[in-house]
Amino acid sequence: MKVRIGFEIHEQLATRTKLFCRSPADYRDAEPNTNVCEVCLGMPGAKPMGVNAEAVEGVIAIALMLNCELVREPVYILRKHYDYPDLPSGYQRTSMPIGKNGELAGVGIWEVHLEEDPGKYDPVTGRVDYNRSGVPLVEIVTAPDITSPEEARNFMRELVKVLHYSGRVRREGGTMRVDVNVSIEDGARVEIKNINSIKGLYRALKFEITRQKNLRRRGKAVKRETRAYIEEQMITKSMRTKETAEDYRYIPDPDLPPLRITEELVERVRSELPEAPHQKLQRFMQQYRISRDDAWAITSEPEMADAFEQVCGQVEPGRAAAFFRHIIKKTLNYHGMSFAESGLTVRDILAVLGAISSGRLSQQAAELVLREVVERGAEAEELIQRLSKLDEQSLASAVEQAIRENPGAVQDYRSGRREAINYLVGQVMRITRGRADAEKALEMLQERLS
Amino acid sequence: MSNRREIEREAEHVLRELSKHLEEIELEETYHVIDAESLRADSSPELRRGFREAALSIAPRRDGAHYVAEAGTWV
Amino acid sequence: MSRQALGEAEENLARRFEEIERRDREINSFIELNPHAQEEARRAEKLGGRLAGMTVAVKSNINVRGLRATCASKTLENYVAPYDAVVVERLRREGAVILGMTNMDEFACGSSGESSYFGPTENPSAKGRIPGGSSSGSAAAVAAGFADAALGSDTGGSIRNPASHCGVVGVKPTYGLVPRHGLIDLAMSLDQIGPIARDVRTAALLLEVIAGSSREASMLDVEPQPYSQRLSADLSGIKVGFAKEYEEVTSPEILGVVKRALRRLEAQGAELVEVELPNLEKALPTYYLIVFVEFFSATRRYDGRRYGYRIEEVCGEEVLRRIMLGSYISQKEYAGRYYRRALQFRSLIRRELLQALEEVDVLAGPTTPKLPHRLGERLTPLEMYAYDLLTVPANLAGIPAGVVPAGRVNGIPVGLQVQAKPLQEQVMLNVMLAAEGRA
Repeated sequence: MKVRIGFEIHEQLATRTKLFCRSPADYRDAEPNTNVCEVCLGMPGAKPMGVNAEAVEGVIAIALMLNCELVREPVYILRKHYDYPDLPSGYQRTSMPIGKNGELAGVGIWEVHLEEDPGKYDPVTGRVDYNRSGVPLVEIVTAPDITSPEEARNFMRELVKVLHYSGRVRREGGTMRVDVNVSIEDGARVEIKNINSIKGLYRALKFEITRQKNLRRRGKAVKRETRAYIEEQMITKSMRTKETAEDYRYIPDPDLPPLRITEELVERVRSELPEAPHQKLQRFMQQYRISRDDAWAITSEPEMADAFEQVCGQVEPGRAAAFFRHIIKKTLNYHGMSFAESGLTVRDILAVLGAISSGRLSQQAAELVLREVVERGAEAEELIQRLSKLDEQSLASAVEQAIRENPGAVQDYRSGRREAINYLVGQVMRITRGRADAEKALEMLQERLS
Repeated sequence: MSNRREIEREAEHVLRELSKHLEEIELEETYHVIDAESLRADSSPELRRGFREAALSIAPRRDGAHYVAEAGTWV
Repeated sequence: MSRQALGEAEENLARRFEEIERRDREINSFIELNPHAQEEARRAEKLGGRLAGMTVAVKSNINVRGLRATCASKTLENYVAPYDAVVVERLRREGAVILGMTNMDEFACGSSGESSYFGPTENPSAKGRIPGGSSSGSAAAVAAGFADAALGSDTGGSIRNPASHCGVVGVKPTYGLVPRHGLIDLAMSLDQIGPIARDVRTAALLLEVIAGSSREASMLDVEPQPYSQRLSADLSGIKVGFAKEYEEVTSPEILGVVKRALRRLEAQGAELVEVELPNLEKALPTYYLIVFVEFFSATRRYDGRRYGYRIEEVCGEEVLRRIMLGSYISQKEYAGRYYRRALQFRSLIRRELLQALEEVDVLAGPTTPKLPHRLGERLTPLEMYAYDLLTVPANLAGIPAGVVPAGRVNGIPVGLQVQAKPLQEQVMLNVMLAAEGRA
């Protein structure tokens, strides 16, 4: 059965102030209802200030990176009316499309536009916090070109990467919201709201497609409706809100003259546009002669890609690529962190790479250094000092100490229990706090005890 | 309101009377009479001390620093 | 009015309060008085400013921090404004003293001053008659001598209509000249705040204080002009237009007063020119259909969650009727037939009015087609709307329009309405001054 999936993706734009007023857009550490003024609270009589230009430029940049055409006609800001506790004025302001007819990873992008975020409402307690109200959002609407939850997941990963690359969205994460529409074999379109992670998206789609297929198998029609994804239960549930049935009664907001997306503005944004992930990938393969897999891993984050390029100024790119893809990625995965969050610097990476090539640091010790840097924010240089391999003489004296302190194990080894030597190697590692080269310690012990 | 029906009936009459004067014409709609520049440069944020208290103090229901709307009626 | 004429701010204030105390029970022009007025008067005296010590009454749909902006509705009966409207900030900065909040038609939905939740207002200049509306209390307070001046708001005549009926001066400025931030909406694309005063000079002074760009989006980027200093009643070289369509819709006794006023303008050097406004009568349905939709949108925030009550549960008949109509005609399937078409007619009327103003400097004519009715007389909604026939075109076109007392019919004041091109407030005020001189 043919499945068609389309998305409406909302993500917060990284601005200092809100879309229509000067209240702070960053509410993450704010007490409830403090980042508000009469404008974003929709108080009687309050009028929007001009539209935040940074937000408009952000939408233009994202539209360009999604290969959209930019709209030349006046872009009206519409009032979308519906009654919900998180919406302080009873309407949400949403612009007409700014970009249209784009494409990403084979999926059509119908439109990209600007919107304001509502507040936060907890339906269980009824509490409302309007700190988020009025924060600028970019909304991306895709064509229903996706045919499976797996494809949906891959597309979303790619899209998230593009948004991140644009540098125009909030870096803190956790603010993305996706509405998904799903239909099977030209059946009714079901919209699923309330999805806020790629994992959630995948699970919601798995559930919803199974549900719709089961209905059809039993000869029942799929109802056209809006459903909510319930994260805790991993299911979708029909929403019986007024919101779903209502006519939004769109009107151009009389308080806001239309936006003019001028050639000049578009060209300025275009000239400042960062390289898109797929462009960077191609360039890395050619310029640094590294494999597609290496390039893909390194360009997964713009910050990591930037660091890689800097490292390549001093290290042979093939070696650097292997280090990034295997050692750094492994460390990041271990901590579940992005490169940007890890705090790793080019200096750290160069120090570690230098220590490896000079033979001062083993592969294992290198990983240890990276972990320490990520976990404790330690200086790589210092750690390397501590962990760098011992010279011959120190190793020899550690071997002597291990033999001296463990006569039992020595006895065992000499009486034919060869594996006892492993215990002694462990003791050498303990005495040297891991700085010894295990291979060498083994060799030396074997020699001494033969 | 007891006379809601009557208000509705009168509203229908009003609409009929008003709209019969507006035949079809071919003209662009006027949404705004002024053509103002609508962009504003992003700036340092402003916070108004005491605004929350002023706003919450007139709310019909509050719970500390939160507004309270109806609970449980929405999914 | 100069500072000297007003005397000491505190003294002036005390006198006004006394008058209000004595006579406002009968007139009902105020909903609430400013308990901090005296303190503010004292401060104003020290600070000085262009309006030092001038007492100003404010319509109850304008936010004055700490006072109730009720819109004369039960919906907002407990809404204590948490912020000052921009115009209020500007008044204070120039030393004005806010007297209190005035009565009005509920949410400015009315032309008589009778639909207030706090009871109707009496016309101080024609007892037993309506004061007009919706800025009924503001016009009445000025006419009764309770305030030196007042702020009103005008969406389709709400300043000019009561100014005419009460025999005072009222100005609706060019759309976008005066910041609306803090003005509670009736119809956002039409609303403007403006002054009401006893004379043209005071109105001009108040206008120059409140005008000029602010941070809100829907504003013209203009510097305020010193209108009051540039006033001149010499009209030589000024062309004054009169539309013959005015005659078809206006009662003869009002026309008589208006024609006499026009002749006085001629005597001051103006040249009278006849112009045509063939679509004048389309303005009223156009206006109301737009108002219904915008008002519906504006009232969605009164859901009872953040302040007051859910509007549909407590409001009066006219407010409810407009919400119903706005909700109905903005639906997807009907918008094309009603709302969009009204917006097309708005283009037509605007173009026609601006074209007529190409030929002349100002248009001068009647303000309302009929005299104010007796308080309590029941009108149908359409009869009530008909009061606005001559005032709504200026709002649809966004042009300035002012009213100045022109004479009386059986003791009932009649105002002359003067309209000008966008941002031509000065010539409009000059013509008003010339008309005032001999009224």
